[in-house]
Amino acid sequence: VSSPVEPERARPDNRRIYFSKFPKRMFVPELQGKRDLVAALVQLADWQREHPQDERSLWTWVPRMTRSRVEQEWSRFRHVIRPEIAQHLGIVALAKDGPWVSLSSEDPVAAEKEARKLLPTFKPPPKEEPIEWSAPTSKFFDVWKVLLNAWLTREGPLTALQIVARSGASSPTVAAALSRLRQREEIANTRNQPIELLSFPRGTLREVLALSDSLRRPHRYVDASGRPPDPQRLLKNVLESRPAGIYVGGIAAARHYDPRFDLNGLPRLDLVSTNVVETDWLRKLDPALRLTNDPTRTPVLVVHPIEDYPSAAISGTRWADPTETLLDLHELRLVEQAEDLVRALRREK
Amino acid sequence: MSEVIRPEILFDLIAYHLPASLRPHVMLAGSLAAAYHHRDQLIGGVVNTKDADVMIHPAGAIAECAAIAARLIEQGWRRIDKCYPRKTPKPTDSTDPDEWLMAIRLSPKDSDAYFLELLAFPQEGQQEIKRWEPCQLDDGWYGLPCFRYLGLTEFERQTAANGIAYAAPRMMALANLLSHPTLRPDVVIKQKEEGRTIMRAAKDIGRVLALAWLSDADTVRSWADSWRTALARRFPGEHVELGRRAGDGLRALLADADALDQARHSVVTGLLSGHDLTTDNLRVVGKQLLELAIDPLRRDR
Repeated sequence: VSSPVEPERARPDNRRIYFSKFPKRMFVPELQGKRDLVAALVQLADWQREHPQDERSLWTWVPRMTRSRVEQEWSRFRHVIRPEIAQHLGIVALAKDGPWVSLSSEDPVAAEKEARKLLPTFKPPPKEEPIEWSAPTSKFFDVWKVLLNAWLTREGPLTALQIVARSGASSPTVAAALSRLRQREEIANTRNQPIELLSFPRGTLREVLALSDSLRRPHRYVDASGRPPDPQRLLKNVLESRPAGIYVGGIAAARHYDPRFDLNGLPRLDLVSTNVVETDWLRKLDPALRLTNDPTRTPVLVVHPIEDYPSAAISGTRWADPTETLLDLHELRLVEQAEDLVRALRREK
Repeated sequence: MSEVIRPEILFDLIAYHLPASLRPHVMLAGSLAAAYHHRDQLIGGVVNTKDADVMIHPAGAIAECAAIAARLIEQGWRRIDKCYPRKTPKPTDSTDPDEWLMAIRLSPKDSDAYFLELLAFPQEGQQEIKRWEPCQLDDGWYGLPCFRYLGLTEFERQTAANGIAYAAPRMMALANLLSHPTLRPDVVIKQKEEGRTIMRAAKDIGRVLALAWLSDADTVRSWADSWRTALARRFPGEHVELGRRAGDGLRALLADADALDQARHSVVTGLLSGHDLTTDNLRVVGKQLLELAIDPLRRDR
């Protein structure tokens, strides 16, 4: 059976296929299970981020999963990515017990018919190298942040022991994370050598940002008194009172690291907290602050809890490290300013 | 009918209309003083009031108050509708003594933009929360309301750009808190607010919440020290006890959904007009006020 359309670009590094006839669809001929499905969804979200106004959908065959399992994974995925991305994503999956179509814009029967017609005709491009695609785990994230911070601060290569100590991850976990980064060519393909990122790790950054909420677990606070939000006042208080285990990130920290940081005002205050249980400092900061899970409400304060925070060991610091600061800027969608901060941090002294 | 006006314009009008020799003896209090202090935060920069509460110094100077009223009337100031004399200082019938005398409310000769309501400054020994001091003018007897806790406004007095003195919002807030240790549902504002009956305590404690809302959390935090000092100087001997129970009325208000909604109604039709506050917002402000300013006094020994 010949393909109705020829692949326009088929990347050898994974199994995604794009066709000019269906510019908003990502076809993956076959996915083996949950992990593959999540990885494909991460790539779909990543793709959508490049075209924020467009709908994007994943069309795939998942012969080892049931419809309900696909729906379950889809629902879970949608909850951990940002709503503004999630609302533009869809999936048409041929599961082992029938099709599952999330797209409200598609006639499910027609979508199934089209999927059954198209998907079997697609042959995956030959794999040059088997690459494990999976969503970044929190432990991988911790390891990656250690490497990124060393790279941003021009610290130089780290030993594996240093990475283990700073990330709080076990040696096998660090080894697995490094293996993944080698496959992505974000670190050199060497063994038993000190390790550092070869360049700014954009690929992993995109994956991390797509799962930012689940990886960083931000606690968002609003001023429930109804007063106009005043993050500047909160910043002043935090800097003056210096609560234990609290570090200032976000725009304020970006200005600390780069005095020429190009942004007026402070739309919100970002903090890193190693004090994940104790919230007394928060009540002292302002009893009117209330936690919110409502994505439509603009927070005045965002706290990122971190259990292992090597930067906290730097005596006397009040600032979150450059990596957390950079991630805050991306969360705020200050992409240009984030790029500028990277350049400023990496500038030759 | 009330009208909206910029509080600084009202302050200028009052300064213009008041004889220069009287200005050192007066201090504005109440909603107009609060509105002036927070004028930059008012929606549209305006306030919905014509009532200018004026406290006359020094304390206990009832004769001076009468002289000031007489002089204003002599210069053409007019009594408003609800200001009329009685033939005797005490009721001659079954009227409640507290309802007998009318307050002295005067509009300037050539303007209806506002009226002054004269309040006497309380003497330190006054025990009643509110006392009516009889005041005789040419045509009969009037009353000068004298609120015990408004004596706190002698501290941290503010001065407007035109030189008129006004009470510090934080002291007005403390005076209102102490004046209402309970809600007393039977004591209501005589004039319904947009058809709604409002408890006096709900209105006055609502004003406290409005003042706290207009101040940021750091400012509210600083109220505790100001209050501690003022209470110790104004009420030596009982200042600790007063501090301990300063939040009683507010706690009662926060525990009473209807009373809190009355407070909300009062502030959103008054000082916080246009700010669209909910009772949840006010509850948060109330708890914040308790935690930052009132509870520290409660812990004093």
